[in-house]
Amino acid sequence: MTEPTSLKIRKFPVGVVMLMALCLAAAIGPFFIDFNPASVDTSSRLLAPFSHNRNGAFFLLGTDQLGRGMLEQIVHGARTSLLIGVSAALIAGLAGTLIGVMAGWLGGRSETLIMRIADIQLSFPSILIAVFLAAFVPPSILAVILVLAVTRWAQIARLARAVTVKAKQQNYVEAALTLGFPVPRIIWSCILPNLIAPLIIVLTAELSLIILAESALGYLGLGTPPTVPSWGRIIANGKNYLDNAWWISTLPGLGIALVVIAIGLSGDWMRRYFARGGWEIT
Amino acid sequence: MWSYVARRIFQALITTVVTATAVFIMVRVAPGDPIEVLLGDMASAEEIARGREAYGLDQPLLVQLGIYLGKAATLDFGKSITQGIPVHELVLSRVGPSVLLGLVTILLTIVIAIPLGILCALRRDRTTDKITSGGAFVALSLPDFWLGIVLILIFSRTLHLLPSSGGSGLAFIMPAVTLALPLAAVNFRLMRNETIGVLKAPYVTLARARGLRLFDILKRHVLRNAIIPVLTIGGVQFGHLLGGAAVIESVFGWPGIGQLLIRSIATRDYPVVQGCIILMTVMVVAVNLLVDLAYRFIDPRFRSA
Repeated sequence: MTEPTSLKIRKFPVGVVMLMALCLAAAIGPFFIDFNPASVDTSSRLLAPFSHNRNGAFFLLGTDQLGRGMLEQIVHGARTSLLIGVSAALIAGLAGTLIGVMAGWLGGRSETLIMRIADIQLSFPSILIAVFLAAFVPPSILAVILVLAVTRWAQIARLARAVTVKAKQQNYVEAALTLGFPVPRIIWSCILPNLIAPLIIVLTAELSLIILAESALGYLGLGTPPTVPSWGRIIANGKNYLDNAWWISTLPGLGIALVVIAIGLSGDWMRRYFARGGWEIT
Repeated sequence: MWSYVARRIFQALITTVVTATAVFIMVRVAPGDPIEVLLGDMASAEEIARGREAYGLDQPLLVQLGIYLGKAATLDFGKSITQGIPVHELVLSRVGPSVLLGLVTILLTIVIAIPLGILCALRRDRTTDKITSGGAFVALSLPDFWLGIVLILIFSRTLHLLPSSGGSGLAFIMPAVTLALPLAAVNFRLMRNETIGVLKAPYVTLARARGLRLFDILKRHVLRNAIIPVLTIGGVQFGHLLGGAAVIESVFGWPGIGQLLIRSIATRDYPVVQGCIILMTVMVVAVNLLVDLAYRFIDPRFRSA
């Protein structure tokens, strides 16, 4: 992150509002805008944005080579992308926290082993791991979610471990141990609260990376099955029509960029918000 | 120092073996019997049994792992299912183009990031800084493969300046730019923040008080200190590019190892997939190791440690 100049925060969090609007559009848009991936309409093939077909139907963002509307595909792709992104981030967050807190609490050999595995994974480009795993699983939404979660747990485990190790040295943990509180309760009420703010910040960053990775898998044809509209897949499809239909590949990419920018702005806003509240955000 | 080097080499070996084992496990648990894939649908049960024996697949799993690791160490991955060529020939011929693309990309990121980082640190919070930092933020938010397609659309299809695919002539320019932009954004931020930090250091204040010219201060004190983390991360990024450039290599049809990997995945050519992944692993691990060691030699503070 660029070093923030001050902890001034905007009264109006543009990123958060933008992100909520995009999520809303992705969540309810598909109910209003129908999309059938199997439909073929030769009368409206490769129409440019803002044009009508012979029957007078209007296409705000144009159509692809099968006459399917781009707006429809992009709205449905948004749902796929955000659904996968949020699910994978939550699973990675949950698993990473569990593993990291365990490593940090237990210490010793198990800690060394877990963190070495995390280090090994982090020394590889995550897209390579995602491509490799996706190559071996049959395509489904769940498979993509799990593959992406696997590629991102290590970063979170590292954070959770660091926070746990630090919190464990605090007097209140020692006091709780002396008083004979059960370990799960100590972890729940003494360790995890320390993790909330940094975890939210890291998860936002991870969400961006997951959404970008999902679109790359879709582009390579390793993502969701062909019947599920996905931004990456639309971009790959449009690459064959760059000469006469620039809009097929470019528009979904703008969608991805918009979502990732909104997430980035939200993350930045939250970082400042938490920092003002006295949180130490690494 | 030498015990550190030995320890790091040992760690690198462990990493390689762990990854190779992970690849082995993935290939074995993947749906579809490798022999049935190899022999096709027409093979009889007897032929399949003979194939299993020939490939050692009738042995216990641990023995198989041992044989496999031994063969992997000598770069013997068998033959490509689709092309019939030994995997190591196929894979090794792709190393050159990938290394070339990686080097050009890293050079490009350094040329972009270091001057801009210093400039924006000096002009902190002024218009130049705000625009550049904003640009870096956007560059990190774009899907890289999409950026590549947009570049093809502009420079190849519309302006007809550059070839959109292939591995010869000027074809390296667009994939290198595509890969470099997000990395340059990362390095720019790092360089900017490091420079801001160094500019606050007492020795810089002293140099200014002595009336040294700003350019000399930058050259002698700021650059030399701020550049170390950027060069380190540049090395790591180079290692990552050898494996992580797969998507961009596919977009531009660049004949690198990543493109071979993606194509082999599409055709279910598992021996080649294994060969690619293991060679990439070796390259990533080797580069990380070299960067780590180089770092120790460059930064005097670490030399005695």
